[in-house]
This record gives sequence, C-alpha cells and structure tokens, in this order.
Amino acid sequence: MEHKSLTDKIISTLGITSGEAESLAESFVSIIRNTVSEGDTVSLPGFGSFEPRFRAERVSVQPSTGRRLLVPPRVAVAFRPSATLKRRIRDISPMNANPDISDTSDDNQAEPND
Amino acid sequence: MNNKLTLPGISSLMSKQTGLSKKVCEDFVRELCQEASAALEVSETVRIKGLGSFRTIPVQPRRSVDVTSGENIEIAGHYKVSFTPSRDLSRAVNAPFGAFDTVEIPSDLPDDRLQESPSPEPVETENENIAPEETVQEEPLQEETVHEEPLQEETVHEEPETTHHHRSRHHHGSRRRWRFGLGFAAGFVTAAIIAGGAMLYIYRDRLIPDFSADGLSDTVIAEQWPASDGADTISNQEPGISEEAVPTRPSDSSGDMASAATEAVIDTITRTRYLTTMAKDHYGNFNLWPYIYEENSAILGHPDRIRPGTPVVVPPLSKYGVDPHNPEHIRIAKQKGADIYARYR
Repeated sequence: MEHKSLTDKIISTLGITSGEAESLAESFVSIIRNTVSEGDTVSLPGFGSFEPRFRAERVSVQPSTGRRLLVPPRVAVAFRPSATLKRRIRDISPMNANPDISDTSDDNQAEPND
Repeated sequence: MNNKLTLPGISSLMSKQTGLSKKVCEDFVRELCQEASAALEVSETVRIKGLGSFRTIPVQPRRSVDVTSGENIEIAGHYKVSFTPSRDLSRAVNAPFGAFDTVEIPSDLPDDRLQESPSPEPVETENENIAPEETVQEEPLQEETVHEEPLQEETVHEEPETTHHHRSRHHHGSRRRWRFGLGFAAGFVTAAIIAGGAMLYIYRDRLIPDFSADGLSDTVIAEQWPASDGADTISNQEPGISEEAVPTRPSDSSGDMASAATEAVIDTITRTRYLTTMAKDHYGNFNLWPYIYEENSAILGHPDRIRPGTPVVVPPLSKYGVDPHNPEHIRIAKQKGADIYARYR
C-alpha cells in the first residue's frame, strides 16, 4: 500500500481534506524523525514503537579479497512491533493457517522467500 | 534521551504544528496505524513517505530448546514485520555519525594499532578544564603511594612527548574520522593522564616533600616529631627557609626528614582549640587549616569531629609551598577545605 492510497483511506474515514491529511502525515513523520534523532522512543499503541539503536563500529573483512574495512559507528532506526500487531500478523499468515507443523514446512517451500 | 513519546504527546505536538484539533490528530494517527496493520495482515507492503516501508517476511520453522523443561521443541514458521527506514529518516537519525565513511584498513597496520588512537580536540579541552579540580582531589591518594612515586615521576616526563607525536600524526592524518570512535575512550584516558601528569610535574616540588614525610605511618611520624618541640613553638621563619629547604629535599630524603622535623610543631586539639585556631596561630590565617588536616589525614576523620586531646602535627607551610599572604594560595586552601568536607558528605 503506497502512501497515497493510505492517506486516501484515512481521508474517507475521517472526513478531512487531502491538504489536512498531507500536513498531518508530514507532521507525524517529522515528529517521529525529531524524537528518534534525540534518542527517544515513539510508541504507537497497537502498532509498535520506533527507537534509535546504536551500532558500534566494527571491522569487516571481505572474504573474497581479504581486505579489512572499518565500518563507522551509526545510529539506526528500529521498529519494534507491538504484541497486538505481532499476533495479528502471525495468526493471519497463511503459514500458520494449518496447525500441523510438517505441513507448514511444505508451505514454506511454496512461499516466495522474502 | 531515553524518553518515550506516546499517542497523547504525538497528537498535541501534531496539533501545534498543523493547527488542527488534538482529537483530529489523534484520530489520524490511530487510523494510520489501523490501516497499516490491516494492510500488513494481508501481506501488503505499507510505504509511508518520509518514514519508510513496512512489510511482512516469513520466518522458517526452527528447532529450539524449551528453557524451562530443556526439551527440544520446534518453533513453527510464521511471519514477522520488517521495517526499512527511508533514507531521510536514516540520515536524520544518524546525523551525529553522518560524517564518517567506511574506510579500508591498510594491510600493514598491526592489530594493536587499531586500539591506540589519538583523541579529538573537544575532549582534550574539556579535560584540561576539569583537570585542576581532579588533581586537587587526587593529592591525598598520591600522598599515600610513596613507593610508587619514582615511577610516576618518570611517566610525567615521558607523557607530553609521546602524546605530542600522537597529536601531530592525528592532525595530518586523513584517518582521523574513522578513528574517532576507537579513539574516543583512549583519548579520554590519555587526556586525563596528561593533565594529571602535567599537574604532578608542575607541583612536584610541593608534592615530593609530601611523599617523603606522609608515606610514613602515624606512629613513625609520632616518633619523629619529639614532644619536646612543644605546642608553643611558632614557626614564623618558615617562608624564608622554604627556598633553601625545598631544592635539597628531592635528592636527599634523610636530610629532608631532619629539616622538616626542626620546622614541624606538635599541637593538641582541645575543646577550644581547633585546626582553624592552630592555622591562625601558626600560619596567621585560619583558612590554611586543610594543610594541617592533610598532614594528619591518616588519624583524622571528619574535620569537625576531632576528639579533644588528639595530638596533630602542624607542618611548616614551606612544605606545601604556601605563602599565607598570597590570596591565590588562600583560595586554593579554601578549595582544599571544601574538598575535605566533600569527602564526608
């Protein structure tokens, strides 16, 4: 679902104008961006939370050439889905539709990987 | 840092930014989450402009061990949510480290060189500002470590040179950026050592007599200061003597003891005679009491709770290189006094 179709759905449900929806969406994103940039967590009930995660610098080695690269430290945004969302995704997914585990492994073969 | 922004907070911020009511903002966020969850449920990818994209990815069934029973179990295959932040968001959050690039490590660089790295200037300056207070606090510690003193002296001389090498290399090298992370911790420690070393070097004249006298235990001190010196001996000649006495001390420790013994005085705490009273009598300024305290720190606890009848050694001021008429020295003494009180807070 693209951004446009998502906002269109919200517009029809809430009865707001597309201009308002656009500014709300922008403001929402900018609040998440600013909060996470400051090292804080944004929590959305029933959906999940956005939090910054520090990744330490590390030395990575290219197996083919043996070159060593120093990868600098960075802060990444992580999304931690809420328990509700996790459950909904887990329950609805076709993989778990059949409770028999031996069958699910067959299903996995059929699933497009990623 | 480490705060949590929840829905009410988000909606009030959004309301301020957009001028719409909090209710609308809250509904918008709720609806957005609801729609996104619904789309994810049907394995649809949800993309939000400026934020990133969410999608469901399959997790293969795998074997595991039940931590409570220790039995082998199989975790069924399922789906989980994966979030990929947009480039804008990633950049904004990673801004503090945005200047760093991945760099190749030269193959001839030994592994241990990765640990040792120069420190960035901001850290250096911060530490140098803090340094004076640190060293003041360190003094009592150093007084105790008598036998280590010669070693410390050596390091003092070496340190400035080596660190200058580091710094110049650091300024000219293009590796500065990527070494920042590794260098941060090492730099902090190096800067602290430099500052401490510099202070030791500057005040070595003052500290060395300290070590030679203070390293001895109380009983030794008691033996060395004969009671015949009496409580009334007021050493007013001390400032004059200091210039002659100080240079001879580092070279000849036995001579140092002898000269110190002639100048130090033993006085006794009574109900009406405190460290400050003694400082006033012997030094002419009650603010200089911390030097008497430090001289006897091994037997004294809280400066306000000294048992009457306790004999204390009143050291000559020359030992600490203090001039009672120098306002700067008085200020340092006041600071020392505050530090002593701070220990018992």
